[in-house]
Amino acid sequence: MTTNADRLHEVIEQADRHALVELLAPLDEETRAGLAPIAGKAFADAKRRHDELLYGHVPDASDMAEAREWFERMKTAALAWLGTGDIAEFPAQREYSHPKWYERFDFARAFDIDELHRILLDRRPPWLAALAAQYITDHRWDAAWRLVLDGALARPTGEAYLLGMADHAAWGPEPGLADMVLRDPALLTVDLPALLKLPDGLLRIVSRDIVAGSSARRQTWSPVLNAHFPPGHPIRDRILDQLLELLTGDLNGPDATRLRKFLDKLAATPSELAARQQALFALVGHRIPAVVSYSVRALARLGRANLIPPTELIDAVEPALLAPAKSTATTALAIVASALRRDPGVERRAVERFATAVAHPHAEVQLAGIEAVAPHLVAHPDIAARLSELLPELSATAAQRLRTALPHQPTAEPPTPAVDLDDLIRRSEKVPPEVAHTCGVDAAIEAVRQGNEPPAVQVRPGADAGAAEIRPVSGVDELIRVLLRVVNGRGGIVDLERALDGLASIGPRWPSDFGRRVGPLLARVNQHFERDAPDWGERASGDMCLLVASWIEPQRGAGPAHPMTSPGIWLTSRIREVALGLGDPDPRPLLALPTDRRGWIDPTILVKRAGAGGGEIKRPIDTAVALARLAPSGRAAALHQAADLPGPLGRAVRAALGGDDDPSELPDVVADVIGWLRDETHESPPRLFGAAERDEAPRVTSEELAIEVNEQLRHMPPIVDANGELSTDLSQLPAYREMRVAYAYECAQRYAPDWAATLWPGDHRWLWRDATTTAVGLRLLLDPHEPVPPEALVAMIRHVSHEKPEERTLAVDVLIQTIGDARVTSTELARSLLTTVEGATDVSSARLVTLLQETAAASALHRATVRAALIDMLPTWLDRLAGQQRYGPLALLDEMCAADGTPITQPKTCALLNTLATGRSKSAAIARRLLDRSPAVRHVRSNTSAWPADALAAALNARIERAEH
Amino acid sequence: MVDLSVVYDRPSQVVADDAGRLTVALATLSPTIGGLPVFFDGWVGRPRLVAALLLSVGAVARARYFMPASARLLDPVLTSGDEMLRIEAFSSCCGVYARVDLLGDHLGEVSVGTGTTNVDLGQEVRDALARVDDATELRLSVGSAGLRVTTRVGSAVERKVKLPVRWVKGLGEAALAQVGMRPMARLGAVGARRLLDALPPASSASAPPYELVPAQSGFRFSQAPRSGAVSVAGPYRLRELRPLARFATGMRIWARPGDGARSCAFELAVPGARVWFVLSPDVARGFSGEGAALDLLADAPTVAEAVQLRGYLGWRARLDENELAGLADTSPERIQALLTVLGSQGLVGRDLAADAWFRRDLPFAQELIPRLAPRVGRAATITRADIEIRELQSGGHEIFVRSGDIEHRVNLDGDSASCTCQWYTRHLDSRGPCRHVLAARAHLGEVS
Repeated sequence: MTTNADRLHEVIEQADRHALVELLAPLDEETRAGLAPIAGKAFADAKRRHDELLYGHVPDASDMAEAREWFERMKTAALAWLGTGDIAEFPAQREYSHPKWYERFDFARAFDIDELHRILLDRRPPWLAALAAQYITDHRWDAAWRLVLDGALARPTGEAYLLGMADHAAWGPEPGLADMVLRDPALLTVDLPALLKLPDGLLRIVSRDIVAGSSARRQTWSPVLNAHFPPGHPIRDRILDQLLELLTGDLNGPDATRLRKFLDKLAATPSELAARQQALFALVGHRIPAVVSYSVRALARLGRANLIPPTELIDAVEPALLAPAKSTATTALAIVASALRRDPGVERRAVERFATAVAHPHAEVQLAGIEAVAPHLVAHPDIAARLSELLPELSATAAQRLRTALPHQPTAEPPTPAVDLDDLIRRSEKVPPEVAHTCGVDAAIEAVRQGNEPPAVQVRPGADAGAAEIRPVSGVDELIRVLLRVVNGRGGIVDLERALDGLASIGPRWPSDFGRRVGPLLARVNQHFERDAPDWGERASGDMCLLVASWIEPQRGAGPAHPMTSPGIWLTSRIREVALGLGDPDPRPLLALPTDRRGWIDPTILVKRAGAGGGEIKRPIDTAVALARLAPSGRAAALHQAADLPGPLGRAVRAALGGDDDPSELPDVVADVIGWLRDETHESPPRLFGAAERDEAPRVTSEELAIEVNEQLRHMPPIVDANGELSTDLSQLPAYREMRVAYAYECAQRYAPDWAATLWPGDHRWLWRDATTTAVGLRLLLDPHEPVPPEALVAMIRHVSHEKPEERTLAVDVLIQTIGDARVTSTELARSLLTTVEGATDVSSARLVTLLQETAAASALHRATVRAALIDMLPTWLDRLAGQQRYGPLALLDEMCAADGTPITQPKTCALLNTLATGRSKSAAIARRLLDRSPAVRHVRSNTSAWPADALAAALNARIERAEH
Repeated sequence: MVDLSVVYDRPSQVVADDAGRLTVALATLSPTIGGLPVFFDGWVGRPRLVAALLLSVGAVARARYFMPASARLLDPVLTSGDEMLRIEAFSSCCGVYARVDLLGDHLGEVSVGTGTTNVDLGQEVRDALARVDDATELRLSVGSAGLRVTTRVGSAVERKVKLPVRWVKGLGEAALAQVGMRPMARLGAVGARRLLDALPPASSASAPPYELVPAQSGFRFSQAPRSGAVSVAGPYRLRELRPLARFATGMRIWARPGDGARSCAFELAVPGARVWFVLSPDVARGFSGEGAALDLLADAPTVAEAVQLRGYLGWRARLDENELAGLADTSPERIQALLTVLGSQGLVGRDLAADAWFRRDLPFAQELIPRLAPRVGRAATITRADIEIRELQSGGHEIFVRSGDIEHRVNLDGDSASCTCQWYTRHLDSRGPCRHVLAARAHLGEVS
């Protein structure tokens, strides 16, 4: 005869949970208690076997399949244990902090099984309330509620149950809260009112719907509340009151946003809002802009419905008139205007509110305020006087409009700064003709005389090289100080160069108490090694630590050599070259120590160094870098001085300086650089950096490839090594090999690009091909002597889509600098903007508008340049933008044209504006304003270029200053 | 002549605070909090503005602009005196010092006594303040036991809390950071709003500082280094000023003249008050470690003299250095140095607008100096046996200073000093002398 125990073994073995329910249903508590040890042991055995299969070794497919079977047995055994045992004896859950947290299997897994509910209803153990509490703790509130619904448990009234309802009711896909309410109306009539009495009760409901409820499916509470509590229902009133009460408090931003969104979902009616107008008034002055926005929108509705007296409305919205959000402020203005229309008796107060809005930081609100206040200024001269004091601070469009609106103010434009172009032209004539030509002064004079924008100055690389002298270290103590800065990450490029040169020139010539002096440096280097043992070539600070170690122990070597296919590898190869010479008993300084912070070397100084170094090329890479760093000016004189330099080094120096020496016998790396200097070949090093030609960029990043490695690892059979232990050979994985290549590529790209940029100061084009190097290159463009090729300008514009705000600001700074020092004019800017909008999809129009807006705000010259560029490229740009997106560029153009009093005369742009000028949109209004504008009197000439005199003067001045310096 | 009889609602009495300290509760200061008298009390004018100011200071106290997961300190310090109420707070990361000076002329119907207290602006008080509008009357009562905020609807009380040493340190360091600051830029109401509206968004703490540079319509934040420009690290830390922008009548920006990373102060003018936000030179740290007064703090006679000076301070909200020099029979320059020592302990604060120190009533504890200036404390642990002094032929001295397992080489030549330690390597002279230099100077002084 089959006993209950046998049968229990059988159903667990077969993982037949339906049969388990049938088996347990008729049993009394005593019989169940007898079966509990069997269930407990079966659970432990199943878990042990499951874990062995899954975690004991790398499982194969059959292990996985068998583990799945044991998993089902585990769950069935857990159910059996819950149906026979006492909850006090069940094992505690394993914490995630446990070393083997992944073996976590607990009774909670059985909670999700439908059969458990049936077992519990059949059994109704005394510990059901404790189990329900555990359900709630485990975010399975629905399971506890089912026990209540089916009468197995009295309806709990505790805080945990009520808050659990707010947080997790209807957590699963079925049933939804609406169904639950139909089956159990007490949820809304008993539980919800109790929940609302708790301090956090309503906030939890709100959080549930707004945080978890970003998708419609997860919106739990608001649809049910709307369906069951129509306007006027006491519970709805209570919820609305509580929401507004919470909002008026000092909330954090996220809570305020949630409450506001929840209020929106409840869709309060105008009469409900009117009944709560005092709370709405309080919200208008709230610290959080989103709350102010909500209240102003609500008040606008009430205003339209004529549910609030105009006087109260006008006073209430006053704080919102200077709200940071433009739309909030303009809505508040509209409320005031509407109230004034309803009750002309409130004119004085309304006009004061209009005047308040004029002091808003945004031009759009200022303009709206002025339009509203303009008809009343004659009647209120005190307000007109107050507004006239604001004129210097207003935007150009607003100031222009206000001047025309003020009754007793001169409508003429304010006096422009004294700009005497003739004075500037006379000053420029003192510049020597050759310098004037180089600096674009002569072309600028001609353009300015005709009222046109001067052409951009073409900057020659290195024209001002050698301005700052870089001194070699004076001895061991200074070298140690410099190295300390370098290994601490505080050293700049000059420190790196001086450290390399100092190590090369001092080598093993140590003072007698060297150990005592070098102690702090070694301690610091050892700290680096203890924290992170760097490999050669990973990063500059790591390589410098390894270099210090090689200085102390020259036999340590210097890592393997690599083909020099990227700027980073040039640097590491150069460090390696220094490291390999550290044991040389006759140490020599480097040739390539720059004499200028950007990397240039004064040709005469290089000749002196070469003369002191003998005729041999002891360090080919150092020699190649030294030649690549030769400043353009002074080469002829230096060539003359180099006439007697002996040996291959002499030949190399002369060839690099423009001499006729044959470089073919020189080391390849040196000959390549000479070829580049002579422009003999396009295969020479600097042109290839950017890795586009020589090193294909990886298809994805090394981090993404690491995920693929993990994926491939799961399907890789384990290998038994010589010790009989399971291991894996990652090198067999294709993704791993690809990841290593990608990592090496990224290291090379990231390897001190600012330092690498000093290797060939005359050719930085490689910087603009990669986002990492562009960030570094942009700072170089702040130097007025750095050329700005078209690709640099495009890279700069694209940089405005950078995720970091400081990088976006840097892009603005660079554009401001390059326009201000005459390297970029509207021609180059328009061309680059066109390239950007035609090619790049990753630069949003909003970011472009911000770039141009901030640039134009820098000076009259910048404004004129941006305006001219924008007029040129506007048709192409707007063509690619959807309706509302066009507002930004048009508003910017309008602001700039207003500031300069400039009309749009370019036919293509005018045609475009004509097509936009119809309709009632904001864009149409701006288009009409642009077309209606007439030229200002202060222009040198009123033709199409329409460059204001101050912009022309600034453009000419920039070129004169360049020439004078 | 008319005889006037005044009847107080209770007699003057001696009462004890929570710490058991006795204080006189004068009958003339009739309102009390927790049985202790208040030193500032009354219905303030412009209640909505005052409430907004308090909330902004409270918001700074709750903000952390670096390591947001760490514990927070939420205790603004309120100092009353000289017809003015000052409310001060630090961000929890101690990188922003905020102060509101409620000016006497605009305070409304209040009585202003003298005293300092510090309270945590809890949710109840903040909710009450957030609900204040211009139609709501607001009464502030500040006493040695805490703060009470009263409206017609109800009142909320915040008890005085223990002021953490970290804040005492911060108050001192923030005060020293302001010494030498000059107004570098001035903006009107619209310009102030525009600047606050254009604050760059928050970024990583390691982001380079911005420079505030002139633009055609005010100022803009730039990443291009410019000589003489105000350096602003993490300008997003000014965001708690934004809710006050609509009250602004202007703004001044203060900094020490010069280049590079340094503290800066933003002064927002609002009707009847000045709001100060002083930003540390680095988002990742507070004003700590600037080392502005280390040489003075390391000098025991100077510290002792500063203790004596405290007796002359009286309860002047603005301390006159010349007057103090007369009282203490010393020079105004010496008074400046002594006030710097007191400033480092938070006992006096710096009011840039008045170009003067103001008194803050905190307990002075000489034994706190090693905690407030840990470098001084650590330098004191370096003994003569750890030092070897060599005179250099080229002038100056080379001094080997043993500190732990490492022997550092300090070079002293007149006022200039260098060291091979990590602190000096990182900061050079920008953040005061390292402990090795302090110790080397002390022992060299003993030898010579």
